Amino acid sequence: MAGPAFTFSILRVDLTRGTTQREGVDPALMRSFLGGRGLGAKILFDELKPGTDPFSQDNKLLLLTSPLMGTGAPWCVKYTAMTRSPLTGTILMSLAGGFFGPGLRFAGCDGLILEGRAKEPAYLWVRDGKAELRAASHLWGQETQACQKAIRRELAEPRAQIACIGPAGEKGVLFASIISGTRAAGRGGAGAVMGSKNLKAIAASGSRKVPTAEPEAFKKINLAIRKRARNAERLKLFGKYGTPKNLVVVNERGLFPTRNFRGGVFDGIDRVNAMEQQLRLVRKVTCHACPVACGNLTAAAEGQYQGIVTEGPEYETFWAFGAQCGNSDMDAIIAADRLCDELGMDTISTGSAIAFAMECVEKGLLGARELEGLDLRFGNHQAMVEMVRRIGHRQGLGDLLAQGTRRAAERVGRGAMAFAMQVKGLELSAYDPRGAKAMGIEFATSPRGGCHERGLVSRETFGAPPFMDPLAMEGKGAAAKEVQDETAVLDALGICVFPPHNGGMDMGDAAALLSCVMGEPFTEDELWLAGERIWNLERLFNLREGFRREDDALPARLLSEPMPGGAAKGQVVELEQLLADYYKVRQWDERGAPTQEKLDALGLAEEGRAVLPWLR
Amino acid sequence: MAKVTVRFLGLLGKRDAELLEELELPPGTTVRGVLEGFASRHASCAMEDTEGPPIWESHVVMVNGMSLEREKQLTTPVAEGDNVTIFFPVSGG
Repeated sequence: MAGPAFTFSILRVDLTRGTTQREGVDPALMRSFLGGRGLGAKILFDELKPGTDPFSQDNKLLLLTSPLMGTGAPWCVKYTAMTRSPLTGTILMSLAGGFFGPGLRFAGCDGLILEGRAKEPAYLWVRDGKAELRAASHLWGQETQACQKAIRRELAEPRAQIACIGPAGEKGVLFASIISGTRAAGRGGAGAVMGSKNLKAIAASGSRKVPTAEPEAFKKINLAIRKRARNAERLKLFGKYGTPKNLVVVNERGLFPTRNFRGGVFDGIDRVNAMEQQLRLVRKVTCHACPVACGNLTAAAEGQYQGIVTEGPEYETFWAFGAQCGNSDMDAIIAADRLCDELGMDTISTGSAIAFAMECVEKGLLGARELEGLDLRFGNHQAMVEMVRRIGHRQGLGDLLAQGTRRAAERVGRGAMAFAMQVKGLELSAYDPRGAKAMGIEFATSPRGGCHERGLVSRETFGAPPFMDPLAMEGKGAAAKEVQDETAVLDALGICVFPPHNGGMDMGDAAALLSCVMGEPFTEDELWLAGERIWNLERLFNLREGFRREDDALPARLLSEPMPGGAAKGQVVELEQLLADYYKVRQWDERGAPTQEKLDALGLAEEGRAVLPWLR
Repeated sequence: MAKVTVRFLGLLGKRDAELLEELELPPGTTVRGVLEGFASRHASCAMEDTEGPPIWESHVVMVNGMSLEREKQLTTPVAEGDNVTIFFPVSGG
């Protein structure tokens, strides 16, 4: 029996005037860009003038769901925040799981386009398809958990899903995040853009049943995927420990960045790993409609941090406040994670900026005047946690680091840029590409800067089957492209990448689910093509903003300092060779621009003609 | 005899486990020999005569952090001081 016809509608909110307008999305656009990140790339490309200042009223902040979200399909939970990043100047897509994305759909809204700037601090309440701006001066300054609690109380909506910023977003920390529950749309500073718009939070409440065009067929596929997932050994083991399971493995493989990427093997790994976390486990945590529940609510066990509870830390955060800062005190990592969530800051960028400062201190580039009594050396966890607080409130040296590592290195000067571990301004994450060559491509070409999440080749980093030599050069361009295109599809559909990468579902499942929800057939090949289309459109956005091949770079350390030990001993990243291979596979020219022929084939002819002729 | 460390981060039957063993092995012992020895000491570890695939099919092996193609890896002899890691790969970070 057929269900209601599929529609996808977005609320456009003019924060300056306080008006909202409902807009249906053209079905042809949904077919080409799927939703979420894909749709967001199209909207930003079409609507954002080149050179828009990320903190100006002209920048837009999009919060987008997908057609699958809230339907009951497993793992389709990740909403995407999209904007022009204040940290990198690139297009930014930042995804968060939890419950907010589905909550927005239950509230009768498939996405938000937030424009302008509210005159006074405000929050947006979306309820049953309508939106209302409400005063938030009394919430300004609040940390994220208190803010969410206060809004639920004020609205008398105890089940409202809320996405908000903390003090870091209000104060313009360039890597401020948007927090919903305790999940973060973390990377690239979407929280700072939200703060610049005087928007403290978005609350969503309602009980709309999310439409599915072919409910009976959908139910069958949904159940089949869930049944299969119950027997997927890799997914089960992943669920038990979550992402921290890979701390030891990546360290053993010698590509676990240590003390600001000076090595790939961490001597404190026996104290910072999944088993140690399990000793501190309060309970498992899940996202909406997820049968895996990979999250861990963790409590610090000892010393000055005893009793601090956080959701996580995840693999990256364990690294950022662990190996990257030379710290092996797990409870301090728990405390730093919680503080980042409360202040609303990206843990990767925060930890990495601190590690950069620690190396500056070691080299005598930062001294007593900047440190204001803080003994900021590698391994000093008290100083590390205090530095997190100072960054969030932009105090002293924290004000410098709140600008991100690249800007901090420019200010420090004297060779500091060589060990500012960032690409396009975004701090790198927990894999050293000297020991995993496709990761070098991913860091260099990811649309939001030095990010692993848009194309993580698990075969290299985690030894996932089938075998791939992480140090080999051959085939890495194709491997990177494949995972990047796949991830673009998963992001656009709001699907968490972990189940597909652990045998829980595949592209065929995604196509089948989408076909049932939208009531028109999608093939796997069409989805792959959509992924490539999204990646190329984001590339066009960045080209239009002036990014070129020379910006597909890596920090000098990774290109010229051989790995000192471990399985990747003696390795550097041969970036030029890797990029040449990758551009060829992508059908991009020597400038790193897609050819018009490629864009024609992807249905991006018009977009190409709007950008390519103007490139120098 | 060669002293070798074996670190296991995998599944023993249906149960996951982390184990560390110090072994003394006769000269010429291959990685396959190390795995067979490990599996025989831990009976619940799936071998050909029990349910499930043998350990070298379900798990990944690294010697000093490096993996090779499976057949090449299994026939490589271990040497004094080698660290052999047997792990069940999961993706996510």
